[in-house]
Amino acid sequence: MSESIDIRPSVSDSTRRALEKIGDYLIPEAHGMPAASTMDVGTSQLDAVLSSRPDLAPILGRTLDGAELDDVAGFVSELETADPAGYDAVTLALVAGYYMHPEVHRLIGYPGQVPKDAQRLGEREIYQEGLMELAQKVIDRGPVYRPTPTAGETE
Amino acid sequence: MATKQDRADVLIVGAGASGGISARYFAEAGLSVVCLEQGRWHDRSEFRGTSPDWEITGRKQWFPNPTIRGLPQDYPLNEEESDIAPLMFNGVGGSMILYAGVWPRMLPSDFRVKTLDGVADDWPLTYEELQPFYERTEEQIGVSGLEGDPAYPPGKGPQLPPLPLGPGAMKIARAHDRLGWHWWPEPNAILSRPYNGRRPCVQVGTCQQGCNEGAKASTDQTHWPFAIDHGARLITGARVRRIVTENGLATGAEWVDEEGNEHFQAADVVVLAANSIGTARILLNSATPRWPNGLANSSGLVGHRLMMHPFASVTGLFDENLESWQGQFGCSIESFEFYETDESRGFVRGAKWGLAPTGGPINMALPARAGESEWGPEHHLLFRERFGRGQSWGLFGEDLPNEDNRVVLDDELTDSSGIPSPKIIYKVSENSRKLLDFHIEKASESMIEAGAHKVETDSLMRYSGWHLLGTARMGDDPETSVTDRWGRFHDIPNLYAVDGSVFVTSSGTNPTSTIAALALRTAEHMVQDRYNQKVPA
Repeated sequence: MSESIDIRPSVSDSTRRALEKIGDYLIPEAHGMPAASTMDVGTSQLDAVLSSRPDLAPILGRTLDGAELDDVAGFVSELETADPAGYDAVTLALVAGYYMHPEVHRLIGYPGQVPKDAQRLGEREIYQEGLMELAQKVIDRGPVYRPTPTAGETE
Repeated sequence: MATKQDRADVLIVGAGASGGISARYFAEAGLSVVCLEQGRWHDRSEFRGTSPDWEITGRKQWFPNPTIRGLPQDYPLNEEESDIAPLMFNGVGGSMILYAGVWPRMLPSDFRVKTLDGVADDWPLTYEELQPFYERTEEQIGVSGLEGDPAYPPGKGPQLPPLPLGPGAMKIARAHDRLGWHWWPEPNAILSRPYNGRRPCVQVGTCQQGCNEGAKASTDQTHWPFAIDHGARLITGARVRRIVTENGLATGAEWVDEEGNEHFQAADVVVLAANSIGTARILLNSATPRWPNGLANSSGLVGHRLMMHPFASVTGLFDENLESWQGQFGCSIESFEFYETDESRGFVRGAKWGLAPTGGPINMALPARAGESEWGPEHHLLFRERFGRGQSWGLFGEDLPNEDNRVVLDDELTDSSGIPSPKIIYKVSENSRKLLDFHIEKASESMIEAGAHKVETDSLMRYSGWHLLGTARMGDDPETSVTDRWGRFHDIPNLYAVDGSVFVTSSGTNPTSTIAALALRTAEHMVQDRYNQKVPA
């Protein structure tokens, strides 16, 4: 019987809970958008982020594992000044987890980076209405470069 | 123990833009070519543009700064004394793998700044001398754009129609029309139509994380397959320790493979194509008792006059959704309105502007360029205001050469093979600061005229050092230049540089097109003049 070992980068439950708490402070429910913790920033979305960015795991662990978060605002403010690398890792993990979530994509109207069909990149898209007329007016205003001076010539 | 490889006619160090272009020319001319490249080939499927994680891998594994990227094939840089962090990529195709693909030529005045503006130095060649090589390399690369730009002398223009400008660029083009300011569709080394077996751009907007489509030109596609078909041998995972010389001539290079084995590649002629930092590093690492300050450095200028183009951005936010996460990245339009010197502005020379989209949701929520960050309930409002609604002018200011801006060897830092790494010493000059401040003001006017309700500026982006130039400048006088007008080192007549190190001044334009044209010009001259070439016995 074979035994599999999970070597995916991960962080402790304590780190996950801290990230959710900070997430709800930085990205709370407001203006029709959900709070960070409801978009799985401490669970499946964090796993997705760490799968792509395993280098973040040790920094998050160092920064958040066992952190006292009675005063989230104070913690974040202190982190930003005292540990910029930790602050950057926390905010990147949160923002990435949140804005990679399909529900957030739906809410912000983001379909992802969608390729346009190369065959449909037609004349109308390339030569947009008014483009050639506008370009002609630039030409009509005349050259804007300084030509190569002839030998001995200075300005 | 070092192994000796068969002697090549030409040994090239580096498989990027200039290495690929010169290798193809040499191989097609029938010369035996060996190229040593410390990186490897990259399959397009490796690039993350089709994955949701493209923005976060673009901040680490695919980030253009080698120190942050930290891959085994990279060499770290000590950047503590530099205002700008250099950017590059090590692999077949070089920095073209991650560059934006913007492909403007330098302007005629760029070659004559001493004569015209009384600063720095003239180049030992003119725009007109380089023009045919621009045209020939554009033919090889495949450039999209529009003929007739009045910022340039007449001549053959891009082969392919321009890439779509999109609604944001059209707004700004109309604004410049009202202002009477120059603008023009940007020439990009990104295909708008199928070309030479490559597919056209699909407007995904992830050019700077690697082009999945193969529409953005890089020499791994446009040159190396031709060179290899003609017999060139490209050795990847091969890191050059030093150039070896004997009796005043280069005899080849010592290099280390990925397993740490030492090798020696012998050659009649050695060509450095390792970018302006990499080439300086190799020369400094090749010091001998005869050359105690670095190989071919009787001028004392090897590594000095590093230019990197101080970069600022001006982002306009508009009311309507412009889908500004899509499009070429790459630029849509350019402006040379304030490029030439006007001394009443209090500085000399100018900047080229290039208009780009503003990126995906993570980049817009975590501003990497212009803009503020906002947390709490207001985060959602700020994000909504910015995402998909921005257009950004990137301002490349001409960076005048300064001998104090330089590449030296770090006392402690090394790469994974134990070879000393570079330390970068670079300060933004007073002229550059004044230049950027002026251009930020004018670019803000452009955005406001176009209808932007808010303008955000980044007055100096730290991670913007794409354009590495000037550390082995060309010139006619061996006392004030490192290489001659053909990129041949004054001190070592069978050693050449074909990368951006030979630039005399930086211009204010994206330099890859000029690097490419110079590499072809040098390679052609070397082949034509080969019967006069001194080679080791």
